[in-house]
Amino acid sequence: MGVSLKAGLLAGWTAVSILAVTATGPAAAASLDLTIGALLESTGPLSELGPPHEKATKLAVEAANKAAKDAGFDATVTLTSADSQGDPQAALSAARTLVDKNAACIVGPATTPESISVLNGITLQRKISLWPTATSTRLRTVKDGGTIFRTVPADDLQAKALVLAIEKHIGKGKNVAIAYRNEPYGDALSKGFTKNWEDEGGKVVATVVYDPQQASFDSEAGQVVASNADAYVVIDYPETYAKFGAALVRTGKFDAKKLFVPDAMAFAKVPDSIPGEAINGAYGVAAGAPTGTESVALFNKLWDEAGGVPNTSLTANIFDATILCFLSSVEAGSAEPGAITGKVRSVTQEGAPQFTIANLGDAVKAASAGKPIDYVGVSGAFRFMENGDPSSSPYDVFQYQDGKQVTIEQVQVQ
Amino acid sequence: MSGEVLVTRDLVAGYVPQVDILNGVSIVVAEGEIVTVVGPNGAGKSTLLKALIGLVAPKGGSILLAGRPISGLPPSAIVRQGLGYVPQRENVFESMPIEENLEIGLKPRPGLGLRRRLDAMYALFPRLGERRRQVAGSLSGGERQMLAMARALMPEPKILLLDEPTAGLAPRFVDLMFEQVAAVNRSGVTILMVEQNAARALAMSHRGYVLDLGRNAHEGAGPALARDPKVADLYLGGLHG
Amino acid sequence: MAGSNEAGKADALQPHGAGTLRLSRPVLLLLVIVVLFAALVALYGFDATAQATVNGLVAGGYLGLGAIGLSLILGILKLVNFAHGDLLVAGAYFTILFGWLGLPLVVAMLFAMIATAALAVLTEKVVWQPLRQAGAGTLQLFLSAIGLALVLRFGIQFFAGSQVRTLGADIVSSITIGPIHLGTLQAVALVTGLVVMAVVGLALRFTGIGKEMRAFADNRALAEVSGINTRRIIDVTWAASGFLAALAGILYAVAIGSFNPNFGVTLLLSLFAATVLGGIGNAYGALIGGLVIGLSQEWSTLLLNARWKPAVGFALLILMLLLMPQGIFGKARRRS
Repeated sequence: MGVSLKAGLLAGWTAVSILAVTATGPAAAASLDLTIGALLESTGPLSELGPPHEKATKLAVEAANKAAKDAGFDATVTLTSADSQGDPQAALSAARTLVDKNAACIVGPATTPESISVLNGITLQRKISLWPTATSTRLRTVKDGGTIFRTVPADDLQAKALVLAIEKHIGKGKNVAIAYRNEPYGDALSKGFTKNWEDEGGKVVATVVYDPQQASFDSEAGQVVASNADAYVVIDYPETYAKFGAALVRTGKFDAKKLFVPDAMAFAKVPDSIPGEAINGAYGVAAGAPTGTESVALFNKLWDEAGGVPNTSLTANIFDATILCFLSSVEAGSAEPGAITGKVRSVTQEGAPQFTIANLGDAVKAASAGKPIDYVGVSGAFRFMENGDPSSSPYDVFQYQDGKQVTIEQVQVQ
Repeated sequence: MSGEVLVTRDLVAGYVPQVDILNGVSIVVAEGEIVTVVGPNGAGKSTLLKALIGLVAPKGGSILLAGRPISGLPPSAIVRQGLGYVPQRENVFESMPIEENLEIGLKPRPGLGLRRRLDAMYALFPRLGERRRQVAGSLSGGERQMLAMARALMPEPKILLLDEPTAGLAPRFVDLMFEQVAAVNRSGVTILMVEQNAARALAMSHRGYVLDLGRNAHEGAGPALARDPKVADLYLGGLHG
Repeated sequence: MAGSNEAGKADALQPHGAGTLRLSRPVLLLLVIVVLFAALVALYGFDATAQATVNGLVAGGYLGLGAIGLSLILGILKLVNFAHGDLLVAGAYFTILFGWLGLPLVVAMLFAMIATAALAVLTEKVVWQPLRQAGAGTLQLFLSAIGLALVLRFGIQFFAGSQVRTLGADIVSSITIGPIHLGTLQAVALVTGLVVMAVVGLALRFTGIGKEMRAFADNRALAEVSGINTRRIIDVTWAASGFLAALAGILYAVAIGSFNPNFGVTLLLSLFAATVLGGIGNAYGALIGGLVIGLSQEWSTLLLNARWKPAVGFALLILMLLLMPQGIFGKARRRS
C-alpha cells in the first residue's frame, strides 16, 4: 500500500516537471494559435457561391500553415465556417457561432445587408476584422471603426467596368436599358452605372426595378425589351434571374448577346434553373486577378490539385483576405482580434519588401520579426484606402458560351 | 297508446365535470304522443333535449330510442337512428335556400327519396313550398321555425324534439306555431317539446312533465297538469295571469 | 359567413331583402375593370395594355388558384391556415420526389396532389382535431398555424435542401396572339385555374358533399344535429384544400420555372389578399380576387415603376375592403 502510493506520487511529479519544461523550453518565439472564421453562403439565394468560397478559404488556411512550417514559426491556423444563408439575421447568428469558436477575424459574408448586421451585431464591438465580398459602396459609409477591409473592389469600380465592357462590345454612346432587383446592391450599381455611362455620352433609356418575390415578371421583362435599347444591364442574382430571364425570353424580342451582367451573376457553370436562351452570349464583369503572374499560376495549380468545385470569380480575393488575416496576426504576434485588425496596413505597406504566395514562408519570417511587409496577393497588391477598400482593381470581362463562363479580356479600373 | 318511442331512466348530464344539470330524469314518450316538458328557468329542460340528441354526453342513466340504447352516440348517428331535433335558435342554414335546407335534412336517410319527402313537407307547410328558392336567412321568425321543423322531419324521424318552438315569436305567430305542431303530430309524428309558454303547450299535449333542479317533479296528462294549481304556483309562476 | 349568425339573431322576426346588393357587386367590378381597360388603352395603346392585362391574368391566376383551397378552410372550418403556402410548396416537392422515383412528370404531379391532400388531412388529425377538442381559442389556433407552417417548411428543407429547384419544364416557349406574348405553361396555368374554379364552384353548388360543406360552413352546430357526419366533412375539406394547394403549387413551380422551399411563404400574403378580396369561402371569389390583384399590379406597371407593384396590390386590397367589406362575392351583412 505505502509503496504504491509513493510510486504514484513520484509518477505524478515527473509528469508535472516534463510539462513545465515543454511549456518554457523550446517555444522561445511565442506560439500562435489562430482561428479564422468564414461566413459562407452555403444555402439561400447565393448558394452557388458557397462551395467555391469555402474551397478558397480552405486553400488559404493550408497555405498559411505550410508557410508557418517553412518559416519554422510555431503557428497553428484553424478554419471554422458557418452558413450565413444570404440573410442578415442568419448571418449574425452564424458570426456569433464563429466568435464562440474563437474566430479572430471573419472572411465573408457576400452581401451588404449581411455584412452590416454582422458588423453591428458583433464584430465592431469586438474589433474583429471583417472581410466581406459584398461590393456595395454603402459599406464605405458605415461606422466600422476601421474593422472592415475588402479585397474586392466596390461597385463604383464595377460600374466603370460595365461601362468599359459595353463600350467595347456594343459601342460608345449607345442606348442602354437597366433592370435590377429591388435591393441596395442593384440600386447602387444601377445609379453608379447610369452616371458613368451618361458621363461617357451614353443614354439610359429605361430603368426597370422589380421585386424578387413576384408571381410574374412578364410586365417588367416587357418594359426592358420595349425600350429597344442597344444593350441591357440586368443586375440580379441567379435565383431571380432564372425567372426574370425566362420572362425576357418569352417576350420574343430578347437577344442575350446584348445582355451585360455584374459579378452577382458570375458563375463557372450556368445553373440548370436559368434557361440557356436567357444567358448564352451574355457578357459579364467580375473583379479579376492579374493574369499571367506567378501567384495566379500557383493559385490555379493549388485549386486544380485540390479537386472539387471549379474556379470562379472572387475566389482569389477570398484567398487573399484569409492570408492577410493570417499575416496580420503573425505581424501582431497575437491572435487577439483587435491586434490583428491594427496590423492589416503593416502587411500591405507600400515600399516595404514584397512577398507573394510563392514565398509566403519568407513573409512569415519577416512579419514575425515585426517588420512591415507588402503582401502582393493573387488578386493583386492591396492599397487600402482610409475606408478599407482597395483603390483600384483589374476586372475580368467574360462571356457565357454554351453554359460556361469564358473570360475574354481584362480591364484595369481605377 | 302503443309502443314507447323514447325512454330515459335516471338520466344524469352536465356540460362540465362535477356540475350536473340533470340529476336523474326519467321520462317516457309513447308513439303518437305530444309530450311537453316544462319547468322554471335552469330546470334542465334544454339540457335534456341536448342530452337526447347527443350534444351533451350523458354521465349516467340510460336513453332508449325505440328500445335501442343511444346514449353516448354522436349526433349524426342518433339522427340516423330516428331522432329529429329542432334547436331553439339558429336552426336554419341562413345562406342556403329553403329547398337546400330540406335536402341537408335528408342526408341521414337518402334512401327515402328526395322528391317524395320534399312533396310531403311542402304539403305540410305550404308556405315553404311557395318559397322553395328563397334564402333561409331572409325568412321571418315563424317561417324559420317551420323550415327548421320541416328540415328535422325530412328523414322521417321516430320522434321530433322541439326546443321552445315559440320563443321569440310575435304573439300572433304563437298560435300559428302551436297549430303547426299539432298538425305535424296529426300527420303521425311523435313529439317531445320543451316550452316556456307552459300553459298553452300543456293544454295541447297528451302528457306533460315538470322538471325542477334537474329532477322529475310532477307528471300527468297535459291539460290536467296545466290546471293543477300546485304545479302552477310552484313551478309555472304567472301561468294563469 | 362569420357575421351571418349574429345578424340572424338580431332580427329573427323581420323578413330580409339581402339579395340585391350582393348580385350587383361582381357586375360593378366588371364595369370598373372594363372602364379602366378602356382608359389604359386610350393612354398607352392597345398592345401595351393588352399585354399587361394578359400578364395580370397570369399572375392573378396563380394567386387565385392557390387561394381557393385557403378560402375553403377559412370559410368552412373558420381556420386561418398559415400553413397553406407550405402546402403549395409540398405539392411542388412531392412532384420532385415522385419524379426522382422514376414516374413521368404528369403522373408524379397527380401523385403529388394526392400526397399533399393526405398531408393536409394528416395535419387535421395530428394538430387541428386535438386542438379543437382541447378547446383551443382563436389565438392558439392562429399561433399553431404559424408553427405548423414553419414545421412544414423546414421539414421540406430538411429533406430537400434549400437550393433552387426546377421541375424541368420548358419555361421559355410562348404563344403569340397578335401583339401579345404569353408563356405556354402560363397559359396552361391560367386555363387550369379557370377550370378548377368552375369545377370547385359547381361542386360546392350542386353535389351532395358540396351542399353539406356549405351547410357546415353556415352553421356547424346545426349541421351536426341535422345528421351530417361532420368528421367526414372536415376531412374532405382538408383533402380538397391540400389537393388544390398542390395543384396551384405545381402549376406555379412549373410556369415560373424555379423555386425553393420559401416560395409558399412569399405567396401567402397575396393568397390571403385574394381570399379576403373575393369573399371568404367562395371559390369564384378566391379566383376573381386573385385576378383583380394580378390585374391591378400589372396595370400599375404601365403607370408606375414596377418596383411599386407589390404595394399597389395591397393598397387596392385595403381600398376595396373599405368599399365592400365582405369581398366581391361575400355575403352582404344585414343591418340590424
